[in-house]
Amino acid sequence: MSLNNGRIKGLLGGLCLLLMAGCASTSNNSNGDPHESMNRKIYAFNDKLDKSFVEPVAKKYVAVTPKVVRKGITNFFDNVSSLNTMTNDLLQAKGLDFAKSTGRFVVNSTIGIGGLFDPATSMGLVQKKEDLGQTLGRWGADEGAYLTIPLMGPSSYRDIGSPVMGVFTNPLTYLAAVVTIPASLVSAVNTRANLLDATRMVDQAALDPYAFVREAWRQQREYVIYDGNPPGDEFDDYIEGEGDAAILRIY
Amino acid sequence: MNFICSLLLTVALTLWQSAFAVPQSESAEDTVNNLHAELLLAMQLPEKTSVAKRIETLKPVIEASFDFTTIARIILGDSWPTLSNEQRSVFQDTLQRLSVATYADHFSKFSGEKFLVTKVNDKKQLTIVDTRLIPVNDSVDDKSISMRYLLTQKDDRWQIINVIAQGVSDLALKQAEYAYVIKKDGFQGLVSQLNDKIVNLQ
Repeated sequence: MSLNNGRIKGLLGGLCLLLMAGCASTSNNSNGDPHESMNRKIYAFNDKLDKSFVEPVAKKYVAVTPKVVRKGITNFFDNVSSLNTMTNDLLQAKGLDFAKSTGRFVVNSTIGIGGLFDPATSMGLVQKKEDLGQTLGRWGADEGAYLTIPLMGPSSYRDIGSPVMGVFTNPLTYLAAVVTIPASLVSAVNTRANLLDATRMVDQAALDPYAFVREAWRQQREYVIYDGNPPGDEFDDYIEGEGDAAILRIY
Repeated sequence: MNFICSLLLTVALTLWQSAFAVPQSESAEDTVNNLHAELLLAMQLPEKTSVAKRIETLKPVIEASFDFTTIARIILGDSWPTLSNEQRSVFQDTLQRLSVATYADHFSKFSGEKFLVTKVNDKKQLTIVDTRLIPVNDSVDDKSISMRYLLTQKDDRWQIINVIAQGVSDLALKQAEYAYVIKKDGFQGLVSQLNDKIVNLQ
């Protein structure tokens, strides 16, 4: 088994340092972003790294890799992440969703030839991603402060553990480094390639890309935590005169 | 004869009344459906159609469908009361032009998509119309995109004040961004940057 305690400790230690660094630079901030100053610097760093290196690699990858191959790679890594979804379905006591996720994983792993193809969707077993942050949110944990993580992007106090759990539930993690490392790189480049249109949209539309990404991410997280049906009576707030604030919150 | 006269009179009265009848106001769902119909037409324009032509196609329906006065006020929030009437007018006009240009840019290709209204939640002052943008494979659940419209009624017309796509509110995004830009660069800086965006889209 190639996953060793040293790697886990390093990952957790790094995350703890980030949180402690964040605590050193808080400010009174009414938009749930008390670490905004630090977050903006990290966002600028991530953006520069992305524009200089990752995005050009992703564009080259798209140029040389046929769409059907990229689709197969996406399917493979989505299938591998199913175990994380299944685990969190169980933790959220979503029995039906757990059954569907399991069915999807089995179908795509077998008929879908190791996850390269996605026959499960045409059978009505559509993809649905769950992670630790969504589980905690489902059980009432507040988002906490917004965070921008170096190399990884948007997160929060609640969601910061999600990638860690993703590593533990990923079967590729337990293979030899000679497999894990290239697989991780391919996954990262493929994911970035799939986001090229989205980032183009942010570059085009956003006056303040940092705020745009922050707000879009946070709202999307609430949306997926409640599977597209968030609770609340914002509608009634509007009727009772809270007006504008309610309109902004009705998602 | 009396019967025929009565019948003719009834018909005449009905026709006379309909000539002066107040047109039935569109419902909120009608406003959304009209917008979607025009978006689909714009998407089906030939690929080589210029951006200016797409903007010209969409401008009337966007201006009619959205309540930009309310949208502008909500977006600027605490800054709104500090602006003069002229500044408010400038911002509203800029926002309107940005919206038209954005729609013209985003809805510029057609691959068999369709819109479907899935739910209408009616209250007196506010109506929520839930729709889905369904891609080519006709599956509502798969890659379809949820688009929720919030509408209010003004002068017997239903107009959109917010669009929420896959849970992300357009108003909330703009409010967060513009608040920062106004704080950093002032109102003129905001308007100038918005005009730059419009030029880039065109």
